[in-house]
Amino acid sequence: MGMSAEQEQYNTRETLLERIRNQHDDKSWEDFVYYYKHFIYIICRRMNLNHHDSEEIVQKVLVKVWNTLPGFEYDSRKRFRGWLCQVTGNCVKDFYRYQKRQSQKIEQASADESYNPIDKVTMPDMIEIAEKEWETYIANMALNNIRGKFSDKVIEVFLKLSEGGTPKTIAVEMDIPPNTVSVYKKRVTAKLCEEIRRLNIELG
Amino acid sequence: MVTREQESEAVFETLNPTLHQYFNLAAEDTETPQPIFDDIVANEERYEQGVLINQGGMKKILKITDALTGRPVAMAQLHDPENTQKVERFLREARLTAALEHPNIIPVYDIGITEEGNPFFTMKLVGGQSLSKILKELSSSETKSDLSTQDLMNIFLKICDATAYAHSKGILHLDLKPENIRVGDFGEVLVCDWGLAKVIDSPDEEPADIDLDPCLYNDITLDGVIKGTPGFMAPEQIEFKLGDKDKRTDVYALGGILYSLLALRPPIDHKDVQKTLDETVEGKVLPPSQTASASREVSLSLEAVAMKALRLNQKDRYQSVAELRQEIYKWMGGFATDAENAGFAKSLWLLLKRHKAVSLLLVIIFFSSIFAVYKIKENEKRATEALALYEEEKKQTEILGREASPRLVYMSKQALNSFEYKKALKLADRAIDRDSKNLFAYAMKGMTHFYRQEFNQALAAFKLSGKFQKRKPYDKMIVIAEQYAPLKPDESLLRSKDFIPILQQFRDKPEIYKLFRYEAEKYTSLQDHIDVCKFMLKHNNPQVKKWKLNFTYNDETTSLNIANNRKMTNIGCLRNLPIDNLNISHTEIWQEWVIAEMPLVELNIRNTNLKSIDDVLKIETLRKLIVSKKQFPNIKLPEGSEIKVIYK
Repeated sequence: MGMSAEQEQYNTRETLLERIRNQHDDKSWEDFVYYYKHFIYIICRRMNLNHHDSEEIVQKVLVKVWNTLPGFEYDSRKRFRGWLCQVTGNCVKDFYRYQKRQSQKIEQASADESYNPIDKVTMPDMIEIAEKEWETYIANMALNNIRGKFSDKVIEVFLKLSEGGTPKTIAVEMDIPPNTVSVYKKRVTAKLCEEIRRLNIELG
Repeated sequence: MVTREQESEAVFETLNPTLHQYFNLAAEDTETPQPIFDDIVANEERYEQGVLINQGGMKKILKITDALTGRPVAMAQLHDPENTQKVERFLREARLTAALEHPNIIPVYDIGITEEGNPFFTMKLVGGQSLSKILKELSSSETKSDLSTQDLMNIFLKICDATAYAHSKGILHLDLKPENIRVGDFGEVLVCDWGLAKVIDSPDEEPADIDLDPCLYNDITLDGVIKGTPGFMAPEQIEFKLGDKDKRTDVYALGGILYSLLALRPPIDHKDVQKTLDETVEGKVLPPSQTASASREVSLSLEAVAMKALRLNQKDRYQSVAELRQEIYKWMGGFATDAENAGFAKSLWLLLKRHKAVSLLLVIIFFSSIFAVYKIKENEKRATEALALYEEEKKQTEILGREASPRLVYMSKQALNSFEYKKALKLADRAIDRDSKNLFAYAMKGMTHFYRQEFNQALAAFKLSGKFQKRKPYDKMIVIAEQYAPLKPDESLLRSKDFIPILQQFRDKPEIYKLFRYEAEKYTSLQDHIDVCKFMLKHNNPQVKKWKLNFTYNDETTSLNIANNRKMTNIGCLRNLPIDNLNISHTEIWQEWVIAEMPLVELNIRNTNLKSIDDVLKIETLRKLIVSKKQFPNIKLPEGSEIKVIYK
C-alpha cells in the first residue's frame, strides 16, 4: 500500500482531486491512476465489456481525464464521478460504434447481440450503477487497508458476518465464544467505517 | 490485497459486494468518538473542588483543575465574599492583571462569579518558589549556593522588565517584594499580586491600549490606610508629604529587591513595624555590604545601584526602571566576558578602592563645607546635597567599569603562569583600559613585557605602576630592564651572552622559567639557544656535580651526548630542540614526552628511567634505537616502522 502517499494526503489536507488539479504532476497522477483505474475497469465490466476491451477503455478514459482535469471545475464529488462516468460511457459508446463499423466492414454483421452494452443502458442508469460500484469499491479498498491492523481470524469472522452468518453459527464454526464474535464485529466495523470515510473524502 | 501492481481484473473478480453495506453505515455513522468535544459540551462546572495552596490577608489561592482546558490553574478567591468593597477591589486586581500581558507578569486566564455569587479569577499555576523563599534558603545554607549573583541579577532583570512594561501601560505595582515574585523551575520569573496596583493618569505610551479608568480603579485604594510591605515600601507610601506615588515608588521597591538579592535580607528589617516605618521615612538604609553576613561577598557596584534606587527623595533615585535596568546590564556586560572566580587581588583592590573613595569624599565634603560657610543656610544644605549626589553618581559609573579590572589582572597572572605571554599582555591591557588607575595592572603588564625581553615597554609600564616598584621582584626587573633596554630594540631577543646573566639573577626562582620559556619559543639563533639550554640543563639538574656534556652541531646534524651523567633527571628544557642524535644512556631521565617531540634519527636510551617508549617509537624520522634488553625486552614496532632496534 502507498502508505507514504496516504500520510502525505493527511498532512496537506488536500484531496487527491485537488492535488491533481492544482499540481498536475506525475506523483499525484500516479496516485490518481492507482485509485481510479480499477474503478473505471469495474464500470466497463459491469457494462458487459470483456477484459481486453475494458483495459483499452480504461487507458482512453485516463488520457482524457489527464487532459481535462486541470481545468475541471467541480464543486461536488458526485459531479466528478458523474463526469467520469460520462467520459467512460462515451468512450464505451465510441468503442462500440467503432467495433460495429469494423464488424460491418469485415462483414460480420451478425455480431454477438449480447455484446452491445451501452444501447440498453441509459446514462442516468449508468451513473447510478457507477455510484453503487464506487461505494462497493471503496468499501473493499478500505477493508484491504485495515487488514493489517487485525489478525486473519478477526477478518475472517468479520467477512462471514457481512456475508450474512449469524454470530452463533460463526462462533461454533470458528470455535470462539459468541461474545467475541460481536466484539470482533464491533472493532472491525468501527475501523472500516473510519477508513471508508477517509477514503471517500480523500478520493471523492 | 490491493497492490499497485495488481491487475484490474483481479480487483474486479475479488470484489466483495457484501461489503457495500458498510459504505452506507459509514455515511450514517457520523458519530466519531469525540471525547474532548463531549467533555466540553457535557461540562457544566468549569472548576471543581480545589486544594488550598496559599493565602494572604484578603484572598486565598487554590490549585484547581480547569475542566475546559484540562489543565491545573491557580484560583484566587476572597476570604470574605460578602464585603462588597473587597469584592470590587478583588475584581479590579483581576482586571488590572489581565490587562498586563507580559512574559514576566502572571497571566490571568479567567474571571468570574460562582453560582453562589462569589467572585474568583484564575491564573497560571507556577511551580517553583517565591523569591523570598529562595533568598531565605540562600541565607540559611552554609554551603555555597548554586545561584550566583549573576543568576540573581538575571532574575532581577526580569522583574525590572515586568515593572517597566506595567509602567508603560500606566500601571504601578506598589507592592513589589521578593514574596510577590514567583521563580519557576524552568527560568520563569513572574511578578504576582497586583492587588495594590494603581493606574496613573498619564502613561508614557499606548494609553488607549488598556482602557482602565483611573477614577474607577484607584478610588478603592485611597482610603488613607498605609498599604505596602514595611521594609520594601517607599517612604512616600508611608508619609504622603514626601511625594506622590509614581514610577519612582516602584523603583524604590526594586532597589529593595536588589538589596535583598545582595544582602539576603530586606533593606530595613526590624521586628518592630513602627521602627521599620520610621527608618524608612528617615531614609536610614545601611549598605548591603554592612548588613550582609560576613561570608557573603557583595558587589560594590551593585550595592551602589541598590543604594541609589533606595534614596529617600524620589528625585535622587533612578527616574525610571529603564535607568535602573541599564545599570544592571552594564554590570552584567562587564562580567559576562570575564572569569567567575575573584581571587585575592580583587578583594585587595576593593579594599583599597573603598578607602580611596571615602577619603576623596571627605575632602570634598570638607571643602564644600568651608565654601558653604560663606553662603546662607539654605544654600549650604543644597550645595552639600548636590555634591554628595554628584559624588555618588560619579562613583557609580566609574565603579561599574573598574570592578572588572582586578579580575582581569588576576586572569593575566594566570595566563602568565601557563606561559601564555600574548594573552597575559592582552588581559593586562584590558585591565588598564577598564581602570587606568589600577597599579597592579601596570605591574603585570611590565612583568609580561620583561619576560618577553621587551625592556623599553616594560620600563614604561613599571613606571606607571607607581608604588609596586618597591616590591620584589619588580625592583630587580626594573634594574635589569634599565640596564638592557638600550642594548636592543624590543622586537629582537638578547644574545645568549647577555641573556644568561639575567637568568643567573633569577636562579631557582619561578621567573627564570618564564624568561626561558619565552626565549625557547622565539629564538632565532640555534647556537644562542643551545647555550641557553646548556645553562638551563645545569640549572635544572643541580644534583649532577660533574657534567659530561657534549653538544655538537653543524648544518647537517645536531647531536647531544649527555650520557653517564648518572643523577640527571630533568631534560624538560630541551623541549623543541631540533636534535637528531641523542644519547642519554646511564642517566635517570624519565621524561619520554620531551624525547618524543624531537626529530630524532638516532637515540640511545640504555639504562635510563624511561617507563615506556610507545611515543618514542612513533617518531617518524627515527632509524636507530639503542636500548638495553633488560629494560625493554619486548619492543613491538608499529607497522611499517623503519626503526632498527639495537640491544646492548
